[in-house]
Amino acid sequence: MTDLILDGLSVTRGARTLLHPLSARIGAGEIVAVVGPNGAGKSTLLRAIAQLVPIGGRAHFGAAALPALSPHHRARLVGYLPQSHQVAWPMPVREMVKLGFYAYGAAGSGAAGSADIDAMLALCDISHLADRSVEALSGGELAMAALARVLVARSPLLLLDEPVAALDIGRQYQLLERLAALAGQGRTLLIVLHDLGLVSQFASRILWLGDGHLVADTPCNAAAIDTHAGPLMGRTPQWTPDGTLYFQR
Amino acid sequence: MTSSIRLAVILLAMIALLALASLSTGPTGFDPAIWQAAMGRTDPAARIILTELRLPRTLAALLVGFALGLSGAALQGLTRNPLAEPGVLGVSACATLGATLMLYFGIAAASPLGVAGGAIAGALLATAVLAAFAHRLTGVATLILVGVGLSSFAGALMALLLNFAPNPFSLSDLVNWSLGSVANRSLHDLAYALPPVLLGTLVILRARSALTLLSIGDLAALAHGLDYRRTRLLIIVGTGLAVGAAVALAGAVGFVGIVAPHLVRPWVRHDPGRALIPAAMLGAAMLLVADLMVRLLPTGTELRLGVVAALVGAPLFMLIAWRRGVSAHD
Amino acid sequence: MTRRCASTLAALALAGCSSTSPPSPPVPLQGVVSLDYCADQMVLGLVPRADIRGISPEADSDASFSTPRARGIARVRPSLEEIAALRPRYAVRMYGGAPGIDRQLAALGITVIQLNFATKLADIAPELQRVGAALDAAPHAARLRQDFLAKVAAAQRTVPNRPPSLLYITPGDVTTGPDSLVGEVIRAAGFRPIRKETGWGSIPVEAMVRRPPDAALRAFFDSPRYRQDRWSSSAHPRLQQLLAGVPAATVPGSALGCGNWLAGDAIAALTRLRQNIDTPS
Repeated sequence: MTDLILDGLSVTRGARTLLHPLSARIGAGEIVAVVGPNGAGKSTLLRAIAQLVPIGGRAHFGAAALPALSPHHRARLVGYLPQSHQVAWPMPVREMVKLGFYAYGAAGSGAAGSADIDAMLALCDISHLADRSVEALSGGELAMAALARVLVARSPLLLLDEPVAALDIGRQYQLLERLAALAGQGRTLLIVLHDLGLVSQFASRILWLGDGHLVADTPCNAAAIDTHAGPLMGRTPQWTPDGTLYFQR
Repeated sequence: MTSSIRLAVILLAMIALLALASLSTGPTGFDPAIWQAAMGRTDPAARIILTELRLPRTLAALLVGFALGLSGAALQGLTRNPLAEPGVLGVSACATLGATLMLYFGIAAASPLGVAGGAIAGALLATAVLAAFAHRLTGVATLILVGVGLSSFAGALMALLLNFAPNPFSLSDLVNWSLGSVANRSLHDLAYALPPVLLGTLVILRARSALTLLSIGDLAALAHGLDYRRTRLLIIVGTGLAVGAAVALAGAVGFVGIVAPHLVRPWVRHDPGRALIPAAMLGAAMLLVADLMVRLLPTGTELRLGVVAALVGAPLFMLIAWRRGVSAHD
Repeated sequence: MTRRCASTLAALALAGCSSTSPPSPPVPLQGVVSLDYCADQMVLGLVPRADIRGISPEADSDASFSTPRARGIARVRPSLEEIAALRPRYAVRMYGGAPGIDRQLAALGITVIQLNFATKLADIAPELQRVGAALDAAPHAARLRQDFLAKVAAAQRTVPNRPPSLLYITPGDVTTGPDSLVGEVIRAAGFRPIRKETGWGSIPVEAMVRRPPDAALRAFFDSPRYRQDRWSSSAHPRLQQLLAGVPAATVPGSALGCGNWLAGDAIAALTRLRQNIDTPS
């Protein structure tokens, strides 16, 4: 059980500041939604924590300072799912998912690794696609395969950039339920989500980003959403009697 | 795993058979009687012919094909581009430039070491340039164009340098280098080519899992723990050594590096890391076939190896490019 | 394009000199220029030094014949402007200069003497005579001709019934059959070329491992000019080992490079070689 500690985390590229110094402390088992308009720095935040861009300030996961770790060691702690997916070669889905074990050396080729792959394929509802070439997948199916790849290594910290964007509504709910179950096992999730409705149903906490700044860090409840959704999203949130969030046309 | 072993066994058998055929072929054509003569010890000339004339040629074709197939697969893995290979990307041309520089400035004189050194240096320079570009580019065509630029530049420099040489036949020498051949090699020449190819192979193999990981894109690969700098360095050094040694031994033979990995990939589930050794072995087999054709085709003077390789390889290259243009991604 | 402009300008200039300026008489054309390696040999062999205006830069790569004779003589690249600037009377060429340079030179009033590469031994003497006459050097040509024919005659005096086999080897990757000029030189000296087929072809290394030749003629090994093919079979260690035990004659490239009277040197060298072989060992 370890906490993610961000202390003055910032990202600059040349003269531009993509992410202004940001501090937060996220405990194990939390599901944190990262919310904000386009260009707010949500993807940048995730990349910064994953050490995919040079950072200012500090980022610790438990006792480990993330920038100081070797790529392998860091990859074992932090799982990162990018926003877009590509596979250069038409390999079978199973082989692509197995790449999640890269940082573990030969672990993926054993029976245990194989079982993990099967489990994650099932979690993402793509078991039937295991032997199909990635070239033949639809956008949503490829996104699920990529997610399975990130999940297979059981990293304690998961950074997911819009994991459900390409899915239909039913699948979105199903997947988020399963991801929430992972959090229940003690893993920490930071998820970039555009749909505040989903956020309101699954997240325990919301990081509101605007223009590269951390505008607010709130628990996930109606009051917080009422306060921040309007100014950031430009639309007033509305609630149905049974507590479902929607935005008026 | 058994499928990999099966593939390796099949390829090994192919190579053994082709090597046997190559050793049984002389200037007059297929001549299996030489084996009897050599075994029977009645004809001392037969043993000399086999070991000093035919064996170096066969081994050279094997070694060069191996090096080119391996380098092609490695470059394709690094650049994520099925059209990448040492010839097309200008690595062979730069290696030839290095070798020719050594020869014409008298540094090599007769020693194969200088020629190999020059060729390897030229190849390393080219692979370094390509690797620098590969990181920034996502497009298929642009990398090929960089390679064409490298090739043209190297070719122009070679022509310039040969202009200074007091030799009216220097242009034909340039053509010889550019077309490639394994005729008239000796075991002495092979001794200088073998270590760099072996070393290059070992270096490239260290990056095999990284090459597979690169399939999912730079960002995702980095996230899963890829050390891109190290991978790139391993591929640069490895292909530079292997291609440089191959060119120093046989000149610039093209297209083996594209065709061998392409044919092998469906059998290794399109895993670029797993494709490395099978592509190398298939490259060896292909060049053995090409050298057999060179000797068996009824032409007046021997056809150059690179000519046969290009006759088969270039249309295949265009076919692959065409298919890629038709499919969704680029 | 620039050559055309230059030749037009040169023609105009020369024409202008002679027609539009009556006071100064036209400068007479004088002397001889050679345009390539083979022309250099012919010119240096036939023409007195004082009359040679310029020879081609290729003379510097022929250490055995042209270079020593060409010391102190200007080098001229075989381009129209450079040759025209010297105003020679004769320009001798076999292959030098761009195509069409002979017409361009002729248009300037320079007599172009085109050399022919002799393909038969019998062509050498008449060619020498023709060129000698064209260059006003008939007596000298006659002397060289006599010398050449004497060497041939000397070789013919002792032609054996069964000529020994001879490998003709150069830095290149080929050897000749009996029908080329070199083939005829070999046969005139009483040898039989190891290659039986006509024309030029690969050196039959495997056949020679089985049965080495009785003798060898090495040519063109005297200058880096002739280094042609790094992977020539002539460089193969086994072949060199084989030939180490075979009696050989060596001639410089100048002897056989141009199909002229210098081939007599090759015949003389081969005659000596055969005498060495024939004397009881």
